[in-house]
Amino acid sequence: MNTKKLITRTLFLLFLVTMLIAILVPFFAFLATSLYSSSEVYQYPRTMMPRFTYDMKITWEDDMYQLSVYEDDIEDYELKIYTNSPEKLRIYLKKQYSVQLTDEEIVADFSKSKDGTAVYMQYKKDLLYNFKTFFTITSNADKAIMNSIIAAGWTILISLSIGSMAGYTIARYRIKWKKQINLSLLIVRMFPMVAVSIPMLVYLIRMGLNGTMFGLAIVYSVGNIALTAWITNSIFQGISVELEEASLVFGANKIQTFFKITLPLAFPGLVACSMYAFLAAWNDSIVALILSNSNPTLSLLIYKAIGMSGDIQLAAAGAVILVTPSLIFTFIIKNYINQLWGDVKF
Amino acid sequence: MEYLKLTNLTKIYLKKIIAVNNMDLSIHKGEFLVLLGPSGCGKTTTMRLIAGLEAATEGDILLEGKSITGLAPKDRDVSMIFQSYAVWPHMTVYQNIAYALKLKRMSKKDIDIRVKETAKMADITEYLDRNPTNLSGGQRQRVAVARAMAVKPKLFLMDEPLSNLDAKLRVAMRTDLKKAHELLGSTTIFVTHDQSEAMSLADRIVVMNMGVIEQIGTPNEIYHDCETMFVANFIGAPPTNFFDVEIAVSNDNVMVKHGMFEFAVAKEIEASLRKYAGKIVVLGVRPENFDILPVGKGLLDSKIEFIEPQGSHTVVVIDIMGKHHKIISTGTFELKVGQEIGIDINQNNFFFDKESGKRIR
Ligand SMILES: Nc1ncnc2c1ncn2[C@@H]1O[C@H](COP(=O)(O)OP(=O)(O)OP(=O)(O)O)[C@@H](O)[C@H]1O
Ligand SMILES: [Mg+2]
Repeated sequence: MNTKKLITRTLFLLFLVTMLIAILVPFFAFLATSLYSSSEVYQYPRTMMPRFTYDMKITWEDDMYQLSVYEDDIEDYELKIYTNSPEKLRIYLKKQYSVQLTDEEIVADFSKSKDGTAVYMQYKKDLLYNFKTFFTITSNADKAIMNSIIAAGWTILISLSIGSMAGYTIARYRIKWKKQINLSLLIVRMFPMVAVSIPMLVYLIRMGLNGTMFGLAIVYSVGNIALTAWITNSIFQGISVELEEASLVFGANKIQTFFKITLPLAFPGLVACSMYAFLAAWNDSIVALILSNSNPTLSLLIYKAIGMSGDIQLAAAGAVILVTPSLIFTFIIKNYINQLWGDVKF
Repeated sequence: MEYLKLTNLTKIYLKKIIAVNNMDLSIHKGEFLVLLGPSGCGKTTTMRLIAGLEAATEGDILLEGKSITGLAPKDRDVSMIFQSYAVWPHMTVYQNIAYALKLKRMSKKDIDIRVKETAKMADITEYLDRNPTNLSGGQRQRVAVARAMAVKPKLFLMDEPLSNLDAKLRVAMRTDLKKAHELLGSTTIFVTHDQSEAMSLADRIVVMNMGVIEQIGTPNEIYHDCETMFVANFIGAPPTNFFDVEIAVSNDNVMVKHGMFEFAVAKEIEASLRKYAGKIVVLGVRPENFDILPVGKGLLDSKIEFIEPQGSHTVVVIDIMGKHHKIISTGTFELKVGQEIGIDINQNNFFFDKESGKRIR
């Protein structure tokens, strides 16, 4: 009896830890990568923690600066580059180590070595270097962020209003083929968005919505309306009809009842639904590529930037930029998500 | 004049399920009427029809002489206590009670006065700021009652309001409900399938079965003067014992003949039973209308099969021609299982037409 309990507990803990690792390790890995400098990315073995400072040694030989960097694995300074041009050094330090210095600073620091003694310096790495680079190589990132927010907003609005109405109808009214309709909602989800977006492009061009965020949101909503209807259906079913009927008896009409009783009770669920809609719009880059290439969303911008530069740390920085608003959004609505499966009915 | 009047009220669900069938009912002002019947007999449907939550298939509902059949629930001036209480979980107790008052556009001050007044009556003053989610079943029930009282409706509808409470609380709440009813002088329709609840609360009881009214009467009438076999069987625990008997008319006497016993019927009923001469009717005898005597002294002899002591009385199960019958003994006889006893049937009994189940009077 007791051993059985112990085994279940252990298994449960193991499961929990595995889940945590599976979620946290990749997250931590790309967060760390986004903070790496170029040299760290190609270093082997990789360090888990990004470095914050570099210890450097500069000597003056053969009329050239000899730059060595302390490497932990060999526990000694390793010669990296020799040149007499401060500008080259500056660029090298920036590109390889994310250390941002001006030419003057370099000359000031390095010229002390000219009398034959080695100069030891500790330089701070610019941790946000990758993020800055990301915004400089992608010219219109702020516009793209706005676009993403607008597209996500419209998607939430469209799929929630239409989807929850459908969900309410399916939950409350006796309609024929209820089960089949419910199932077909999921089938809509099965179509890949890419397949939907190509014919949609034709319609959007006809309507003049091609390249607009509203047009994009319409396409995102196609699949999301179905999902929202599916989820809200069970939410509304979970709200006892008697709660609504009580409102009717106590002097409210149907519309008042919906807004004062049904909607507040369904609210946590609807908020959670809005997260699905948000994520669908926020994370998509393929549909945006087809429908709105010239006016990209953040996700599309990152997708393209990664394709162009090929630097893994830039890709990671882009991913962090993309995921941060999602995390903020989730954080804002976290109370509702936890409530979602709590007791609406009793 | 009747306060609430149902005429020909009929509700058919999905074109085939007849939930309420041609119901006629009148309720006086200030009356506490209980709808009693087995599960599925249409009690809830009747309530919902009166509240307007269900549209009548046929018939009319008149409140104070005016038809309310076509009105929306909110315009009917009735309030309802639901079986699940239906207290809104996203509002505080105060907001729950104030909801209807706000919709009536009462002033904030009046609402406050009314809410506090009713909360005091329902004894929930200390919970006013709480959320119903963290109230006990009994407390939630009180909130539902307070919410219903606050609007001062023309009619209270209560659909098994006590059925979710434990036995003890139920009895306590029932007294409270009755008190509140007397205090407010409100007109109430109360649904239950618990007869002791019905008996103790009702001014009049309506016994329903399969969508029709079997009998309307005071608790005493319902128990002691059953109109139909259904009522005799449904009301009373243990239920009425039924015997198929033949009516034999010989010269002046009208005799009841059963395989095990025969006796002459009471004078009052003779005339009606004469018509059944030679036919089979059903004799119904309440468990307490048997007398236990020593063997050979009674109408018939029988053997005790089981004994179920209940404290104040004892339920004795006897065997009469292979059928078990439950009778009640209040005597202090020492009874044992397997014991042979004599049984007497006194004249407090009912005769029913075997075909229609109607009382022969
Ligand atoms: N919405 C509905 N659709 C179809 N049939 C219904 C509906 N509501 C009730 N019925 C049927 O109508 C009949 C009467 O139901 P009702 O709920 O009035 O019974 P009740 O007397 O309240 O029973 P209980 O004591 O179990 O609550 C039942 O046969 C029930 O199955
Ligand atoms: Mg019912």
